[in-house]
Order: sequence, then structure tokens, then C-alpha cells
Amino acid sequence: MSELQNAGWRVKRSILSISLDKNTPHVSSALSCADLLVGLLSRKKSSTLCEIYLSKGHAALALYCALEEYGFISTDDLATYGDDASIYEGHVNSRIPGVPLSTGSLGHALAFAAGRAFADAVDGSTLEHWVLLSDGELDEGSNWEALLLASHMRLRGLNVIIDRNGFQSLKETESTLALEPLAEKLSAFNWHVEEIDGHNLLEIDAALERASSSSSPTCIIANTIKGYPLAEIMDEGVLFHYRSATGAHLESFDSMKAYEA
Amino acid sequence: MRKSLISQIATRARIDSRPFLVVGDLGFGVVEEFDSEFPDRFVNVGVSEQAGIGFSAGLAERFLPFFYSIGNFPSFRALEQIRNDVAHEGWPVVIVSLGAGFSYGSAGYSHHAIEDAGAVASIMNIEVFTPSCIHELESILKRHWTDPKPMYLRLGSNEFCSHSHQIRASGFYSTYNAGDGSIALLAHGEIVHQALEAAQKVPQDVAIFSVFQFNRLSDELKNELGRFAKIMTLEEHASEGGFGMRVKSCLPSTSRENFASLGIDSYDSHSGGSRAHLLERNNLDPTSIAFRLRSFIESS
Repeated sequence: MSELQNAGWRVKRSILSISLDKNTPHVSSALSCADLLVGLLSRKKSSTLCEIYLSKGHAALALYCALEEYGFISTDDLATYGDDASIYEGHVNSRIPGVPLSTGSLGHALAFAAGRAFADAVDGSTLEHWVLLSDGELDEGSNWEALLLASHMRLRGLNVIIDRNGFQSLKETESTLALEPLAEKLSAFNWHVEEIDGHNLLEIDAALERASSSSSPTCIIANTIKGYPLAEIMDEGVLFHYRSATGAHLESFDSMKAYEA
Repeated sequence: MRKSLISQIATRARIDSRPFLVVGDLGFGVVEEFDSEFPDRFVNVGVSEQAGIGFSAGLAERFLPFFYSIGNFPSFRALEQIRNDVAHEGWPVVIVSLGAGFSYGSAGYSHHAIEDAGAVASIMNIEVFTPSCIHELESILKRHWTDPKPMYLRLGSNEFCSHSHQIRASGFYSTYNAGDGSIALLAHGEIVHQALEAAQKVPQDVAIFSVFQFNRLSDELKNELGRFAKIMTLEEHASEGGFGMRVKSCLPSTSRENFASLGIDSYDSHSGGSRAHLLERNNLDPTSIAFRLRSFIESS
């Protein structure tokens, strides 16, 4: 098992453990994007200059756990998550080291990152900007404004990852406001589009590298599973979008032989 | 004031690499010269106010962005971008709205910016400025170059200012005359010119103040108002959520009975006309203002 996969295991376990301990929701959303954040933070740690924008701010716990895994924040600081007066809130807070933008309301990060990428280009910077969107938040028109703008500007260094877990707040994306054919839509907006398994860290790592060396903005559609790898006991639905992890979840996770600490 | 605004930004841009102009597909006949002179500091984001303001916030680590639009488009269409990405993140973006109040007259209610300042001023951590003339605009920008902060800048259409007034830049207001202490008329934006005309029609010496910070009353101004027996506010903006309500809340409770506010109290959205007509219909033309001033002064 690779070090990346080990990191992914540890981050997911932290998400479950902290959600259980602090009784905080959005655990299944955090689990669906945890491996993507591990891929991104690993890249940032390996001295690649990059900013990571978690547009789906409700999955903040996944970001915080990944930041801790790679040493950007301390374990003690992470332990304050959800506490009174802590900057580690339920949605992403830009006061946290390594976080360029507070998020929580959907559809804000991509336009902001486009501005950052544009400013960097003027200055000749090679900083990479990675925006992690949920699939449900693609309902927001502001994201499509920003997709149009970023591709028009051919902003080198700005790339998007979509956490395509197929669910939004109440039910499946396709029965709420159909996104498919998503890849074709994004291609029509002049984005280079790739589809990957969003839980395969080797695939994630390779896709990030390809996007980084591309001359035009890339959108990676990462096919994920909400609540991964506990989707079956998280009802494969939206319940644990609203609830915290349980002791049974943690036990089940620890018993999974496919993972090793 | 749009030509003066762009001219002042360009003047600064010649000595400062930070000013940056983002337009929401507006500014025909005004922004082209800036684009020609500073092509690396000009972007037209198209008709996309939400992306435009988010993009501007992203620029603000390196630049001093101005997001240029008109009427209600940059405020109501992108209010959450102003709140989340500019104000609460503290990025010094200036959101510019041309066409304050009834400036777009017969264009219809979509273009009447009569609730915008109140809406933006309801957001914490952003300053709302409504200058009445290009000189006040200059003093606002002068401070911005050295102390940039999130700002909403609401501008009317007049490019010239022939009135003689003293700008108190630190207090964000101008005075035109000292008055006799009986009454101060506080207005913001271009309707200050209607206030000046109205003051000529009443026998008393009405002190006219142009207050160009909408959402706060400076201590300097509060102190100066202490010498007046009565205070009236005037605005080309909805009274509800407007400047008058803000001034009233700042007054000592004993003074509030000697306070009156003039603004837009009712609005027929679907019946148009020129700015002059719309002001008259809302009793905000000079003759109506003078009548209401005289009644207020003479009331016990």
C-alpha cells in the first residue's frame, strides 16, 4: 500500500473520529472528497506551490484533517474543531493556515481563484490553483459564469476538480437537476475534461500532474461515493449529510482489511 | 461622475501598479481609454456580476480592483459575493455603481437604484460612499490609495461641480454654509444640488451638508450637528433602510423629535419618466423640498 493510500486512510479515520467526537454533520460529504484532498495536499507538501480552494465548504472537516495529515496545521489546533471561539468551524475559514478563501455558500470559490490565477499570471508566478467543487453546487449559475470566464481567459495554473458523488442535499443530482452529460457540457465550455476514480489515489495523483502540465484549464470529474468507504452503512443516501458519524461507523472502518494504518 | 472616476483611476495607475479595472460589460465610451493605456489592468468579465466580483476579490491580494457596473446590477445581483468574498474576507475591492437613484429615469424600475445603498450597507465590514460631486469622489479615492478597504461607491451622472463647498475629508462630509443654527439639511449624492436650490427658496439660513459616507456618521460630523436645533435628511433613496434612518439612530433620543427625513416613501414601479419627473413625483424636487423644509422649520 502506498504512502498516499495510507494518508487517505488516516484522513478518513480522522474525519469519522472527529465527527463522532464533536457531533458534527456532513460526514458523508467529507468522506467523498477526502482522497481528492489528500492528493492535493500531498502535491502541496511536495513543494509544488499551490493554493487549494474547497468550494464545497461544508466538507471542511476533510480539508482540516488533510491539512493536519500533511503538517500544515497542528493536531492540537485540529482538536479545537467545532469548539467555541475556534477558527476550525463547520465551514471553511480563511483564517486557517493554507486556506485562501472562506467558503460555505456554494458557488463562490472558482471566480475568486480565477482572479488569483489572473493576478499571478501578470506577475509571472507559477502558483497552481485547484478548486474542488461538489457536483450539486454546479446548480449555481455563478459557477458557470466562472467556468466561462476562466476558459475564455485560458488561465494557466487554474484547474477544477468535481467531486462527482451523484448526490445533493435531498437526493441524487440526476433526479434533482440533471447535470449529465456533464463532461460534454464542460467540454463545450472549452475546458479540457478528464474523468477518474476519485478514490484511487494513484489515479488522482497522475491526473493532477497531467492537469498541471496542460496549457489550458482542466476539469477533472472525480467519480466518488458519498460516505466512502462506508456507503452501505451510511444508507448510500443523504442521511449522513446531516448527521455525525457513529461508533458503528468507526468500528466498521477499523475492521476493513483493505486498509492498513 | 463616471468619466471623472475612470480619469482618477487612470491618473493613479500611472504612478501606482495596483489600480485595476474590471467591468461587467458596461462603460461604453468611458472605459476604452483605460483599456488602451493599461491593457494588463483591464478585464471585461462580460455580463456576469457574480463572477466579476468574485474575480475582483481574487485580484485584490495583488491589485486594487474596481468592479464597474450600473444601477442595481452589482449590488442586488451579487450581494452575497459582496458580503462573503469582499466584505467579510476584507479584500479592498471597490464596487462601483453608476446611475444612483433615478439617474436612469425613463429606463424603468430595473434601472432605478433606490434601495441599493441600504442593501449593501446592511452588510458589515464594507463602507458605502455616495459622493455628490467629483471633488468628494477625489477625496474618497485619495484615502483609498493609502488605506484601501472594501467599498461600495454609488455615483450619479454629473461630471462637473460649480458649487463652492468645503470638504471635510476626515469626516466624510462637505459643508456649504454655516447656517444660523436653526436647521441643518443633510443630503447624500447628487440630490445635494436640489437641496442647495431648495435652501434658496426659504427665508431661514439653512446649513447644507453633503454627507458622502452612507453607512456611518463620523464623530466629527456628529459633533458639528450638535449646534443645530433641527436636523433634516434628504436622499434619492428609499427611506426604509436609508440614510435618514441611520442618522436618526445616531442622534440622542432628546433630539429625535426635532428630526425629519425626506426620501422615497412609495414607488410606482411601472410608471416611468425623467429623473426630474420622478423626483417631483416623490416630492424631492427643489420646490417640494423647500415646502417641506419650511413646514419643518415652522413646526414647534
